[in-house]
Amino acid sequence: MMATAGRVLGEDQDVRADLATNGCRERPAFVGPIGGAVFACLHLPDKPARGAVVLCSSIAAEWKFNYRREVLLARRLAELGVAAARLHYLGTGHSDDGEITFGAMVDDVERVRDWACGQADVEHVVYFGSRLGALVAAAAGRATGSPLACWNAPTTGAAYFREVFQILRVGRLAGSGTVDDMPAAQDLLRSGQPLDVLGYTLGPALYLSASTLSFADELGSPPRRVNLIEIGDARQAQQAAGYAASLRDQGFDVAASSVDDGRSWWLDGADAPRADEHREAVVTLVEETAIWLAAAGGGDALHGG
Amino acid sequence: MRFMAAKTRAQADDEHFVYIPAGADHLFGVLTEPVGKPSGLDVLLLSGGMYTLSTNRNRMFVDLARDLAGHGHRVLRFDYHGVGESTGVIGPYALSDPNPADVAGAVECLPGEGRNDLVLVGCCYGGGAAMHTLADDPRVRSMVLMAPPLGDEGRGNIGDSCEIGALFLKHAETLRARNIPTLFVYGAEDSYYHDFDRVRHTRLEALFSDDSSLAVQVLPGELHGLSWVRSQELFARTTLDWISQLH
Repeated sequence: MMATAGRVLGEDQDVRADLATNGCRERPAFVGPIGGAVFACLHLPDKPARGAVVLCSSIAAEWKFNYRREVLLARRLAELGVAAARLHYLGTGHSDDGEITFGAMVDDVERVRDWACGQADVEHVVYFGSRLGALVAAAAGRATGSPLACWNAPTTGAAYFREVFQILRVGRLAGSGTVDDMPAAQDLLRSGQPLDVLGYTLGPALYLSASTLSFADELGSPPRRVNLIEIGDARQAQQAAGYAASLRDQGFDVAASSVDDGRSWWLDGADAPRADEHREAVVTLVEETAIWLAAAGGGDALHGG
Repeated sequence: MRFMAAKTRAQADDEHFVYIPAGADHLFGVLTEPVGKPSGLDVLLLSGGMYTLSTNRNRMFVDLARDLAGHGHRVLRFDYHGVGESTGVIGPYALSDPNPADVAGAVECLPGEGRNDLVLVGCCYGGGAAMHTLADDPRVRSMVLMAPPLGDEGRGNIGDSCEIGALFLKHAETLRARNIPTLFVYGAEDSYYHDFDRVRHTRLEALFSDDSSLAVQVLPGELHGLSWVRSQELFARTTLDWISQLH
């Protein structure tokens, strides 16, 4: 099943043991060749999986902010009878070094998808993506037209980075009180320099490869089932609903909903939350997303529910 | 982001996953095996609070672990309970009770074969956790503590009161009495450094005297929170330099 030649650590003995939680199992692995291995974690149900979900995270502070809720989502999917695979893109998290580009992120997802399908013995895959990961998930499932659920999908790569740059200015203003000496982010990246976004490195290769993309294009040909879930306030939910309507006009099968909760992905401490497990909005978000994905992925939404 | 040109540097192939029992929970950890000749040092990396993962910000701890392993050290990083891949639900990150069961479990997880000396590297809350749990542990050879708060309550700021937390003081005195080489690293613009500077020549004078095993290094800018890539690089290089002179 592996797309890449070389030793596949995840199929070796590098994992000491699966972790058992609520009857399900969690199997971390490094997937891919030596020096280019992607960290992945596969959540397996307590009985043969009826399908699989591949979760495509965002990057940087968004990756950290959403990390626990994506773990909770994967655990819930396993309880619902569906295998769930998460990963760290090359050059991020526990994975090996690698230049981060949009194409490389999609390649990593496809590699982990193939590994997960082999481990779980399933063929049917649906996707989940959060923020920039929504574009990745859309691209990874385009060839098969696979269903896709997203949290805060950006309409375009350019809009996504515009928001990141705005947050960068806010963060630096809050920290040092001035942004006068801050070079224009786009100019820096276009000149091939990395950008320090509040302690996270944004490389020019990712910016240049993703800033020209649009979510609709990455979805491919309609009709494709998409569930757009917007986390934020009423104004943001309204904007998202408008975008969902435009996708419907293009022929996509779009469900849309919103969850009223903070979205301070980048500014640590600004939204000092309780643990995700104790936040009603997060519990609802995870549950509703899991049920939709499990139904789309072939799982039994009532099993373990 | 590599912090120095290790001749050989570890990669994923040199790492094992571990699930560490800690109370009712299992902590996810990544153990990086030494590359080349083992140094005899184990290094435990302790992330800060606010749900910080074992990778730390911008995966600073992944790069640091792989560089340290390139110098022959065995390195463990882990997610606190309720964080990242671990099970459980984490509490309010109380400085008076900084998850000692997690830290103790992680130490026990380090391979027992030819038990090595132990170096703790902790960031902020993680620094407090290292002091709280292991200041009097005979296995500890050294500590590197990034921006540890001096207070024991809330976020650990002491402000104008200059009242150092009793726990902080007790653990620092233990490290001093045991002659454990301990490096306190602050950023010049950290609020915790301002706290430290207020009491450096009064309440902490004896602890940081010239003949003390406790030392302080102040790096430019803001270190706490690691919200600058440059700060991460400076801290990692400082840590590598400190550990390299231990053996």
